Parts: sequence; structure tokens; C-alpha cells
Amino acid sequence: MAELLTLVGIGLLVGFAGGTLGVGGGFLLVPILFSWLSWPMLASVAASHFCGMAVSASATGNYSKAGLIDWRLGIVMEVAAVAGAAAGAWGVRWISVDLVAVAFSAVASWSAYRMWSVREAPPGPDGVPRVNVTGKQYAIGLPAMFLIGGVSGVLGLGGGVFIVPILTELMHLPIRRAVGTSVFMVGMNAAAAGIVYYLHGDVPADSTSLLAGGVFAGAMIGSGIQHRLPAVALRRGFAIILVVLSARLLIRALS
Amino acid sequence: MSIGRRVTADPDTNASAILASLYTWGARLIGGILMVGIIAQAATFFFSFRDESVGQIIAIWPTVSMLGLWAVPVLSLSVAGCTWVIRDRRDWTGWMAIGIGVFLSSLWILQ
Repeated sequence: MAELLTLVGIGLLVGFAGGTLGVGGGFLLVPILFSWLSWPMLASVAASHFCGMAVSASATGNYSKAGLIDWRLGIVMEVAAVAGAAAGAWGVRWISVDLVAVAFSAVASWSAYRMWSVREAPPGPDGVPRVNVTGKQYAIGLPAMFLIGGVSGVLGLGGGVFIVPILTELMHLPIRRAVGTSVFMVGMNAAAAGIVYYLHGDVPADSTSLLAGGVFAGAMIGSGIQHRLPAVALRRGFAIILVVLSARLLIRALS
Repeated sequence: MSIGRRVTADPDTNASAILASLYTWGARLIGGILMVGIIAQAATFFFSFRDESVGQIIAIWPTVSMLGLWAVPVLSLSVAGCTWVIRDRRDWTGWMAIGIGVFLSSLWILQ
């Protein structure tokens, strides 16, 4: 019984964070499962992918109802991310994972600074956020998403923590729209990686199902209340996550 | 046809609404499965409830929920992509959605 309550409780917290900020929650879940609950690293990563799918499946409906998902933009960006993930999986034996971790620690720090300090343009007169993705922004965003796809695969991240900064800083999407589109995208990323782990027998299905149930409920609550939070609070919450991620990547590389 | 122009269009177009609807219904189904499994497990702990049907739910629930979570994006993208392409063969994002759906399915087959 204690296991059921613990796993569902952890899932609720991770799902709430994921549903509110548009991330899969792997950056929180993997350390909790690995360090706190002593799960093997492979099982922790595998379970985090299924929880990413749960965040996406649960929160996408709420963001969709609010008109905050750019479906077509998400699909186009995802093609680049999937191609990058394949390239990353192929190239991982020739590149230094520690060097990549240090480089992306710096990228995460810069993104955190931007998220914290930059104010986005106010919404239009009808209250709807302005969205104007141009061809030039695609020319910058697609290679960036390819790179993120590759690096996420190398570092074992779902990618949501980097997708939102790309959508806000490079594609100039308002934070809410970036979070909604990211929620949709992390589900595809997680599905690609998760099924491979599952078919190799690395997913502890009983425990992961309990986690995923909690994550599903938490993400539904998080995505439901997200629209009540001011945009600046969302940006700053995301900045804090990026600082934590940056520190983790640096510690990993140095240790 | 410019992808940029399509993306900047009103997100509540019919095409996007199909994908949104598929995702929403898929999520409701998998959410229901997850909740039934958790309630069944909690019932066995709290009330020492032993029943053959509850035992069967607990036995197959993890597999069904894992596969269900994976199927939501795969099926939604594939079906929505096909619908978009049937409406307009030059719809790039429709072909991309089908491509992602086929890629995700092929991972299963290749393993």
C-alpha cells in the first residue's frame, strides 16, 4: 500500500509540474526514482518516458480547448527533432557526452536568464496572443530543433525543457502557446523512446502504471490551472527549472 | 503552399480540430484505464477485496495502460495525417504527421 501511495503521490507532483510548464518531467522523475527510490537507472529513464506520454495525453486536451497548441508547428518541429534524435543515436559513439553536457549546461543557463529577464509582447486587443511564425524563424528553429533532438538523445532527456525556450526565444511564441505546443511534442518524443525500452523489457510495468496514473491526474490539474497563472510567473518557473537542469548537467559532466 | 502561412492560420481550423478531438478522446480512454487500475489495486489493499474479475484487471492493467499511452500519439497523428492528406494532397504537414506515425510504428516492428 505504501508503494501505491508513494508512486501515485510522486506522479501527481511530477505531472502537475509537467502539465503547468509543458515538460515531460523526466528531469524531476529520473533523479527521484534513481536516487530516492533506488530504481536502476535504465528503469528510471524508461519509466520517465511513459510518464512523459501520460503528461502529453492528459494535458493536450486542456491546452487544445484553450487554443494554445500550434498543431502544425509542433508536427513540423517534431520532424526535425526526430531526425536529430536518430542522428544523435548514431553519432553518440564519436562525441564526448561530457562536452555536450557542459555545452548544454551553458545553453540552459542562458535560456534561464532570457526566460527570467525578457518580457514578452502583450496580447492583441482581443486578448489572444499574437502568433506570427515566419519562414526566417523556421530557418532558425528547425536546425535548433534538430540539434536539441540529437542532444536530448545523447543526454537521456525528453527534450521538453529545451523545446519551450526554442519556441519562445527563437520562434517568438508567447509562453503559454509555447508550453501548449511543447506538451503535444513531448508525447511524440516520449513515444519514440519509450516503446524501445518497453520492447526490451526495461519498463517495470506495474510500478510505472501507478506512476503514470498519478502523472495523468497531476497533469490534468496543472494544465487546468495554468491559464490562471500570470505569464511572468510561468516564465520564471521555467527559468528555475532550467537553472536546476544546468547545475545537474554540469555536476554530471564534472563527476 | 507555404508551411509558414498554414501555421500562422487560426489554430481551430477543421484539420487541427480532428487531431485535437482524437487526442482528447484517446486521453479520456487511457485516463479511464489508469484510474480503474489504481482503484482496483487500492480496493485490494484497503478492503482486502479478493475477486476474480478484480484480479484479472490488476493482471492485465499494466500492459494495457503502457500500450494505451503509446497508442494515443501514434494513432492520433496517423489518422489525422491521413484525413488532412485526403482533403489536400499538397498538405505538407499531413504527410509529416503520417511520417511520424509510421516512424513510431516502425520502431515497434523493428524491435
